[in-house]
Amino acid sequence: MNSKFLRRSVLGIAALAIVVAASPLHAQPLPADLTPSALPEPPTETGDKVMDLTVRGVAKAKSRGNADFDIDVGKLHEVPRQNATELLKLAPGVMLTNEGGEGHAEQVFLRGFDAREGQDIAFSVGGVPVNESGNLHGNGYADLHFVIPELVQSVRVVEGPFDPAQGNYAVAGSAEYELGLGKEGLAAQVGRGSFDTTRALVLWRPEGRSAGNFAGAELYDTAGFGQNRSAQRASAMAQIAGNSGKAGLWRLGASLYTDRYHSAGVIREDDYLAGRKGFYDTYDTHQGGDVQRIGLWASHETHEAAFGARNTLWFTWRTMRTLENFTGFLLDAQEPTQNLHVQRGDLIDRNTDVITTGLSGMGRFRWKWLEREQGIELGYFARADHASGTSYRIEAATQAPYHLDTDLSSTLGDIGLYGDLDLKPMKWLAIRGGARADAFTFDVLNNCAVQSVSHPSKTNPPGDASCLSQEAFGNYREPTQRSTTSAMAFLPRASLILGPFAGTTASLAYGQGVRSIDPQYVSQDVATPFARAQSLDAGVRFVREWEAWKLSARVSAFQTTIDKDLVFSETTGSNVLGGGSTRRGLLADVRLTGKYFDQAINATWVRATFDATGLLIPYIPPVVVRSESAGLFAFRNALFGDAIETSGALGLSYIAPRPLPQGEVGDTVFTADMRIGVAWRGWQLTGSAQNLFNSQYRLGEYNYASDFHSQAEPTLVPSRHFAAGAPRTFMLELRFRMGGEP
Amino acid sequence: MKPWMFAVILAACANTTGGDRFDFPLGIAGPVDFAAGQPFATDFADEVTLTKATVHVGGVYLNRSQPLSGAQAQACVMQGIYDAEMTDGADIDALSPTPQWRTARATSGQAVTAEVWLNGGDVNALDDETLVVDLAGTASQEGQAYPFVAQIHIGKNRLVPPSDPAQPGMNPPCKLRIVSPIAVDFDLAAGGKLLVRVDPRKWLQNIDFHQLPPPQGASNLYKIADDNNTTAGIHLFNDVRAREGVWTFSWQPAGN
Repeated sequence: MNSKFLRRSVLGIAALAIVVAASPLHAQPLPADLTPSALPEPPTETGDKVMDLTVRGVAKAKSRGNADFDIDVGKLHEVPRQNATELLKLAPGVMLTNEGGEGHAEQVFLRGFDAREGQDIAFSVGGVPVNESGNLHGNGYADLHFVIPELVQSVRVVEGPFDPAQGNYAVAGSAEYELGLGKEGLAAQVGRGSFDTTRALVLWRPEGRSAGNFAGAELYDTAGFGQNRSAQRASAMAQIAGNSGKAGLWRLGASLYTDRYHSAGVIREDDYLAGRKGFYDTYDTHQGGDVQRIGLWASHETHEAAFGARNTLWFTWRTMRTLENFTGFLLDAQEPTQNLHVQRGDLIDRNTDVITTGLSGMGRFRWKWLEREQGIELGYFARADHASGTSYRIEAATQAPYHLDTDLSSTLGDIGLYGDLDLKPMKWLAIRGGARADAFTFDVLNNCAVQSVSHPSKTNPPGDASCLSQEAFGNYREPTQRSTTSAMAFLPRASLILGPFAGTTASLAYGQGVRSIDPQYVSQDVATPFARAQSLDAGVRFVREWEAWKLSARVSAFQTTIDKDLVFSETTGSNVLGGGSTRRGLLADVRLTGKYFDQAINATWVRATFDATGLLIPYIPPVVVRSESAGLFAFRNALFGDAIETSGALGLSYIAPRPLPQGEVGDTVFTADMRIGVAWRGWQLTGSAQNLFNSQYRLGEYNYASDFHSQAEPTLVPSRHFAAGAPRTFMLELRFRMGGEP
Repeated sequence: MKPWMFAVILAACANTTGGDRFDFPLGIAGPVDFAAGQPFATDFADEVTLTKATVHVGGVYLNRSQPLSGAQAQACVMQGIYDAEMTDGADIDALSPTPQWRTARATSGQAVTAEVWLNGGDVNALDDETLVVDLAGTASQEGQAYPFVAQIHIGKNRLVPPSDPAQPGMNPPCKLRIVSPIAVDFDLAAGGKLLVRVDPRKWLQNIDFHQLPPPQGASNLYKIADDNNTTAGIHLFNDVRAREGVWTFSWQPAGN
């Protein structure tokens, strides 16, 4: 993408924000107390209290037990975060890395899964799936950078495939972001920080409207730390919501997002230790990428006493380019048909365009039996993705593409149905679950199906061409090949919830999940084009509320197996299919919330191994601990008149050394992020520091062979590589808010 | 930190992903039973004495697998995992049994294939001015003395033109510069060391000194041509790169 496009996109985004902000909302105002986060919740996990109340709002999903984390971000919004993806850290067992740069989706590790950029986690924002089927970078790639963090009201993370509503990619689990703006009025914010970083933000929620009515736009520019980490991005999101009939709610939303960034990639540990490279240096300044995304969505939801329904329709267009070089000059093997050449460079230039249209919905019936509310939900899900992608190798000397590795055009379909029972045969017992069936269809056109030929034509030699039009002995054939297949997956899921007994609830959950296969691996009529996971979770949760405090604590044990795991391949710069694997683990999670403070801490231990060898799965952190604290304090001073609010927040992360290939073990990661703020009238000034102690940590660690020409002869033995984590980063932000309650 | 936390972390680290990285000393030398001036016989010569025999080794590599066929046999860099490498080039006196030591990197595991890289520049480059072999001595064949010299560069002078015009890359220069695969069989482990010995006697096994062109000009030295145009030049080049007999690898585990 060129800067002209970026400017146009930024102007477009600004225009969208202005139009949305300026348009008269025909939506009827919603009472402020019926915002999603304020919906009446059942007092217990089993929800045995029947409420004869017509509720207008976004329905909260029923809990699936201990693996179901419905997180109200609340005061923990104060904890500094780079982006919306980092909200996932509020759920236990999540580690995020990013070797690809500011516009590259975060790699997510969850409960012993290396879910890469979403391949094993089903992401949705406002009910709209984010995972991109057919993305060449990774099937299911999910980039949440288009989400403005301030517009995220809650996150529900289900750590396993336990809810029948969870669809494709819910192998390690799912993460559902619910959008909303907590405060009414117009807020403008500008921030300036380390490394020439500037962030400008405008947020608006009409007075008297629900949190689901908002508009926001963000501009971000940074030179980035170290070498080659500059980025520019712009994002705008807007949604209007209104009442429909007696108990209905409709929502209409749009988002635009564009990002251009550079990436430093990885550094060899031996080069760093020998002083040949600095910790924050790069080998290849051409790494980086571009992203553009447009999203539109509409939904209608109604909740009456006995019946509720929701339908959502969405459209997403996204294009992305990534340039990554993991191996330097190693992979350009001389082919007999090619003219003689040296190693030309391994920079991968990967482009993907994905158009997704889909709709989903459900109907929920409730009735009384045994004097308790029972329920059944029947749902559907349908999406179609058209993805086209190319992957070129770029010559280092000329920056010209010299080889086309992949050129695919894929049309992918996924239609699913599910049934979900919610039975309460006894006051202390809830049985939830059912089954889901998904039909996957694949139509993959490989535009570069022939890349080598054993006995080439002597009169028409293929030379250096990547996609050949001949087969053995020079016989002509078209360079394309189409493969189609389809399959059905049946996925039972169930949760058993016992309690509460004195605030304590026990749960047991079982479920199966699938990840559809990457179109690159589709061959004609392949039998099962998906990977299947089986997950089991058992735990205990304690919840107690006092007048001013709420305490929630849980412990869980879990096990998940998958028949086709994904393992990172440095040669393709993405994950490739591996064998079966199993992970077992324990987690603990505590959150204490008061009027003036919010404290969350979680810890997860997991052991993930390959079934065939019993060896540890590389890159999976065995222990992840996260603590988030936020506090607010208000006082009055005669000098200033109005109350002065002060706030402080602290986020701490600990990641135990990760196993790496070839017996290597990574380093410990410990980071601290802090923010303090003061607010008076409509003004708020905050200062934040991420990586407060300026620890030089390795965000991503790898062990593989590469040759960056740093030594006299090629380096072919697997070696430690790392993607550097950010050094200490300061940010000062000033916000001014007009309208709404102070 | 509480003891139970240590236990949890230790339990997580009790197993590994396989392998273990370490550095080890790698020595390259001539044969232990041979020295300058010591006569030896070849298939053609009754007696040969060497006064000079140096070889430039660019790198040494060990691999866990053997090339199978097809593309793997064609490729200069093998598909399998390389488990040891020495990338600091060295000029080796092949007449000295005393090793020149270098530091090599390895991951533990079995090595079944070794490679010796005879290059100074890019192993894939068309040309390379590096003097790979420098040889001098005297041979006696059927009563006639042949004082001789030989040098080997592996550049354009050694390129083999493709026999199939549709496959211009069938004879890449890297294949000429890499002695591979040399069969080995040992388990690499921390604390050990590797000794590579090169035997220059084998280089001359197939040289028929009678066939060498007579000395030119005032020199009385016979010269083995540094190209592919003479039988002697081809034999010397091939025997320096022979996969058997010339290069021997011995792994000495820790404590030996």
